[in-house]
Amino acid sequence: MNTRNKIILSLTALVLVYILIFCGFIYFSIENYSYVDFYKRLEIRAVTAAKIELEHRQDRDILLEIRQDFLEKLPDEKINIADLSGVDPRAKAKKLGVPVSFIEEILHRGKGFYNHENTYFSGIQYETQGKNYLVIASAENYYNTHHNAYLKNLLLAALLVSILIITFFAYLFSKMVFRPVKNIIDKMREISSENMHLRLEVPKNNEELKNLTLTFNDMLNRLETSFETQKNFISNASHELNTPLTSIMGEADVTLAKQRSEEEYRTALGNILEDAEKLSKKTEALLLLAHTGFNGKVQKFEDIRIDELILEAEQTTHKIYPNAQIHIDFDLLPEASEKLNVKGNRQLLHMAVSNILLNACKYSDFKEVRVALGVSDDNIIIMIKDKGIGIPKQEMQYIYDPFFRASNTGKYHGYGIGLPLSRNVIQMHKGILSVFSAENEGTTVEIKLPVCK
Amino acid sequence: MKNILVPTDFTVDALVILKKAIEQENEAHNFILVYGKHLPGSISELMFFSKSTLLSSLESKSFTEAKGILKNRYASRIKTLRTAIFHGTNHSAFENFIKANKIDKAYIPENPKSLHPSIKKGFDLIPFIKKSGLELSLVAYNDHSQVNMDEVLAKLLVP
Repeated sequence: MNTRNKIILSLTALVLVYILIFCGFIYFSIENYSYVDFYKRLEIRAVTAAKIELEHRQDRDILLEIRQDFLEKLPDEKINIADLSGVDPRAKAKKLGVPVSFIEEILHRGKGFYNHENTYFSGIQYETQGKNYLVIASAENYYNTHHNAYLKNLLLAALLVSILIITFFAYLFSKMVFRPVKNIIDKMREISSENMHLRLEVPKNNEELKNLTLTFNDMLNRLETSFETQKNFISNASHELNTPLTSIMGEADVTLAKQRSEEEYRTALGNILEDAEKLSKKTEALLLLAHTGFNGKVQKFEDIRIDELILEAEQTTHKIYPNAQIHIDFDLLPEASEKLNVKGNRQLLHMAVSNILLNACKYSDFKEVRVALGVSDDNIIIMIKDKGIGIPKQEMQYIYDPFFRASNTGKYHGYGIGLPLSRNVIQMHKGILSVFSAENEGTTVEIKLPVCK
Repeated sequence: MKNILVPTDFTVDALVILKKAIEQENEAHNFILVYGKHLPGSISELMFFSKSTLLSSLESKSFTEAKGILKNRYASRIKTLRTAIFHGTNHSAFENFIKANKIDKAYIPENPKSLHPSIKKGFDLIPFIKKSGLELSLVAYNDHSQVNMDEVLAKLLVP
């Protein structure tokens, strides 16, 4: 059953239960009221009859006339007056067709009520001129048979009609509520891998649906980016791998075109070897990237002193770029040295940090690079700041794509694998790598690693 | 052991004052970062006013992190480091604040305009501190070149 039908059904059921309680309450209170009211009428009749018959016999005709004018005649109305002294309750009860307890109640309490099927009895004791009388009025309850039955039918009919109306409104309501959802579904169906640029319209005045569409759009953004990344990766990778291969093939082709001296063969083979080495480096880097990007892989983690790691990375950088200027600032190192421990894989973390140091040196033309280390309550923070060429703002979103190189890196040699690789390694250690950069001003890389507790 | 007041504006930059204050002292002390902010004006806001909620809304993640770095760096010199908010409007209220917190000394930046409490809708505490009879120490900190809320930790770590 879909949500729409569920809404219609539950809404109808809810209102129906409410109306049922409401109708029941009205019906039973009206019935109770008419019941009490009818006994009152009978009592009045009993009193007036007693007054007429026992006290004002001389004015009987006038009083009867008044009574007929102002008190309507009830169906099957009977009034029975008896002197109390000569009454045997049993004989009286038998004569009137009422139980003895009713007569006894009147004698005992001064008045009493009783009903048998639709005939109602109301009795009183009447005291006049030192004598006690028993007055019993009885009549058929017209209201019960007619008015209450009419009320019952009316309420039942109203109930049926209201069910129809409620169902209709619940249908309209659910349609209204679900129209935007249906629109979203229709729109989502249109979006496939072919037209990923399409986005959902954000409704203005519906907070929940606004959030839903924004989440959808956000997801689409991420999907689109990852599609793009994949497309770029394949084209970049094949291009990167193809270049040395073409160069190897060209070199071999030219060399084989005619007979050459041994010296010439030697140079040609040397060139081929150089290109093959480049190719091998690239595939190695790719393999590493694939390994570190794979989440399920179990890595051997050990305790590492992070300050030692930075010093090692600095040495590695100096070996590759002898003229690099790296200033390591351990001013904010914590006093307690055990806070510098990180659980991690030494080779991978070393590679990640030295990659970033190498980038910092390379892209700042060996200007000063500052490295700082600090430990907060939760994180170890490594800050690497250079005054290099920076990253253009509009390209910041692609810097973690493999093989992506910013537009201003033309004169520097590189593959575009270092940063994504470092980021994969840091993420593997449950850390965060963030890059802040301004073009031509410099780049700051912040590495946060969780403190080993 | 003294209680030392350091004004702050909840930017990572301003923690440099705290750092310099710690460096100038030789023993371990209690440091209190103080910020000036008026109490809310409406009764409904006052009813649900909570100091800890206010503090946590003022302290950004990087500010807390930077505080943690300093605490770890100077573990033997910082006995306690806490943050307090001064709500008063006049001088005698500030005197009471000093008395209540048993403050002995204050560090303020040389350039009184270098703190920017207005970023987070607070008021300037420097005039109050100057007017009080506290022992004052000036700290060289006035290179607050640009006021932006991009609070990267780099400002503290790599000046």
